[in-house]
Amino acid sequence: MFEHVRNLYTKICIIALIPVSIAILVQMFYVSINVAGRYLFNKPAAGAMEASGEAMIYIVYLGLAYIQLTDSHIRIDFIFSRISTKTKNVIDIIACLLGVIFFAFIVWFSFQSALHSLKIREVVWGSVEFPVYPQRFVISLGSLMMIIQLILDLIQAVLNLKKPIEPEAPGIKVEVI
Amino acid sequence: MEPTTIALILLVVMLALSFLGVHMAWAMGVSALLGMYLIDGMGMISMQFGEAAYKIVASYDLVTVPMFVIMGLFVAESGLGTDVFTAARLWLGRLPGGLAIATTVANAIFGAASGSTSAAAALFSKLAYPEMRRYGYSKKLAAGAITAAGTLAAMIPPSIALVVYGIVSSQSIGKLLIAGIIPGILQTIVFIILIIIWVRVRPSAAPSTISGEKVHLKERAVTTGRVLPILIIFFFAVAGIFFGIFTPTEGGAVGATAALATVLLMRRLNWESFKVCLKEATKTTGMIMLIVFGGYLFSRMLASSGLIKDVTEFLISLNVSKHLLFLLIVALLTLSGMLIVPIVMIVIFVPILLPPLVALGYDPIWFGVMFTALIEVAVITPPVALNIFVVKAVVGPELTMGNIVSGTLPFIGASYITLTILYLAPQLSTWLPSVMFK
Repeated sequence: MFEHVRNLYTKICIIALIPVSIAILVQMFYVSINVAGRYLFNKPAAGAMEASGEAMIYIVYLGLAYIQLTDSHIRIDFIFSRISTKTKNVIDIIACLLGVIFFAFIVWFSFQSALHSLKIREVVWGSVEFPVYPQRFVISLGSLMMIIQLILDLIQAVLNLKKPIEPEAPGIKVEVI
Repeated sequence: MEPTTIALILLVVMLALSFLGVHMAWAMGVSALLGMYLIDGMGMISMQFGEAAYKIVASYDLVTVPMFVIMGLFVAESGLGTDVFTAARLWLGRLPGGLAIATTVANAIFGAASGSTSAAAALFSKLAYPEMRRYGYSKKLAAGAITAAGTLAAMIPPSIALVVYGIVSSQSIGKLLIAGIIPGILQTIVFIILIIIWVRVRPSAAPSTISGEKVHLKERAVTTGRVLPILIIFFFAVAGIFFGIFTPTEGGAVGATAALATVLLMRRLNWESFKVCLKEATKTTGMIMLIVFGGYLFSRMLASSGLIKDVTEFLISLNVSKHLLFLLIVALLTLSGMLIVPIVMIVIFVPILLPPLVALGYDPIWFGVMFTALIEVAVITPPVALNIFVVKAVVGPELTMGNIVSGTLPFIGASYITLTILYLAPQLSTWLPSVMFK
């Protein structure tokens, strides 16, 4: 049952990468078109700055759960990589709980801001007026997705605690930065 | 309890959680949350969590991060690393220690373009290590050259470390990127000189060169030609920023679009690898931005407690030589950098250290370059040297950790020579930004 839910949620996190990818491509092309327009035709693309800045929200927040899913959020593993699997699970449980608290605050306060933004019709001022409230709702949505992933990881860590300990394969994580 | 005491305790709590293995972003975020509550009640929390979650991320300047990252991924996908090593090998391989020099130069070019220290180390462990061993190079020289040269990526633009420094310190990202050019080239030259001296002193470290091979001019032209398109894109993007034609964000976007077009024309990108590039870009951007956001919350908490002001006043009141103070900071950063990844180092230390340094008369752009150079030395300094692990993982049992560490030590020494030069001659970092078009 748990495995089934986990697999289903993995699919949802991967589907969320579609708007993320679109946002990255929009930034790439829209900003490039803006430069080309400015120098070649003396006519910059309207709203390129605003759109690409706002696109950051979709990239960062809708990708959060996927990053957690692939265990890629940055952690210092100097001690973590040298302790027993059981202690690792305990730390994972603490880490997930703290993560849930942190993102719960973001969900709650961003949702409040989003409702307020919708009410006052908040816009980004620039060559084109962009409504802000969708991005504020996306912050809440992405953080909520992150909380769900953290809870799934938490349950997994608790289940692992009950399992007999298996020897771990040696491996190395290569950071992108 | 005094707000500064609360902040100090939470600084310790945050570091303890992080070292235990709690994810950095929320180790900082939760500590900030608790600190804000204890110092100011819910007011500050509601403002920072409601507003900063949007304002910090939705910024046009930050678009530089995904653009540089995806450009680097397209470049890595293009096979530039292999091409550039092939070309550098043909041009430089005849010199004594030439293959190690070729590795350094190829790393400077590929590493700069891909922006990734460990990706460069992994690739060259696969490419250059067997090649150097084939020509009888010692394990130490071969492994040391690869491990160290990977760090050149962080300084030569487009450098993500300098972009993050710019965001955290509110300094001009364009100036920082340009400021990294001369120090990056200097570091490359210092490494090359080290290799030449090494081979002179101990000729057995690189007994033969590729001079036995016949290399036709045409072959050189063809291999160099393959590298050129990507190099032109990079030159164009960086020159565009220097001459004020683009902002750094625009340079990144134009560079990424041109890199995509080039790899498509070279038929080196298929649908699957395109999807992988987008996924990786999402991951890297997301994890960097979450760390920046967590770090922002934490530094807001520290600042509102008055701790940063107190640290600044305390350091100035010590009345010791500013050089001594800087030396202490170097020691602190070197020790921490052995355990903490570069991006996190920037987010934790820059908000605390920059205000006192500026008050003592140091230039913030120059400090960005010094900071980046320092944390990159840490990446190759044992015990927790990411690049050493990467080289070991890729090469396998042939190479012991001892080989890599003793091969890397001379390069660590050379990096400190570069740092000393950069300290004594800050103009090497500040001159180019001062003459760039504003």
